[in-house]
Amino acid sequence: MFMSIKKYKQIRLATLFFIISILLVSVLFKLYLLTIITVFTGIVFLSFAHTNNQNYVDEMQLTIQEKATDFTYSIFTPTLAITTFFLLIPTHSGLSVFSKGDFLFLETLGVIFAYLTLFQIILYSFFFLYLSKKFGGKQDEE
Amino acid sequence: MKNKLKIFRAIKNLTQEQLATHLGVSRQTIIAIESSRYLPSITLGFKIAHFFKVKIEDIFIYQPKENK
Repeated sequence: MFMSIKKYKQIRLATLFFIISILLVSVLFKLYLLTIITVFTGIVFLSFAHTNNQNYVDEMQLTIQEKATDFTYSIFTPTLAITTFFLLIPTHSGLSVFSKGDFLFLETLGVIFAYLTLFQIILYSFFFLYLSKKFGGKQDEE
Repeated sequence: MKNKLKIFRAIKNLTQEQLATHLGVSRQTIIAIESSRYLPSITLGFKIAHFFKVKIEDIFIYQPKENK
């Protein structure tokens, strides 16, 4: 029923590993805005996602995690979708605004965002179907 | 949903920490249940009732929303 504190710490460690990796890369490539945002994210993550002294994560913490995930998804996916739309918005010539010139990379970014948005939609649909079947049972059951 | 957890805990003379340990949850969860900010799962609800040796409806009082 409960997530073990070991699993919780593993997830936390993986997230910290990602943040540190991005920090190192950003410093290496002199992407200072990314460095600042990464440091800020790291501080926020370490401040809020701290562990407690228990040897498990109880049901209220799981509910909080579920709600946090729900909020994250419902904010992140539309943001990604709207950004994709603006980056790939076609003009009267049928091409994207950013399909030529110095901002060509923005169109590529739009395509990547589009793939990510579609991937999220597929993941959500898959898990929705899976969980509906898991908890819903068969229709002929009484 | 209202609950009388605080009263039952006081009768047994237990601290929030002690009750939390008995039920296998965090103290924060007990605080949240007592202040009706968190509605526990049915399993935890039964676990609480079983711990105090009472019926679940003796602790948790269902209050249906009135239609305006």
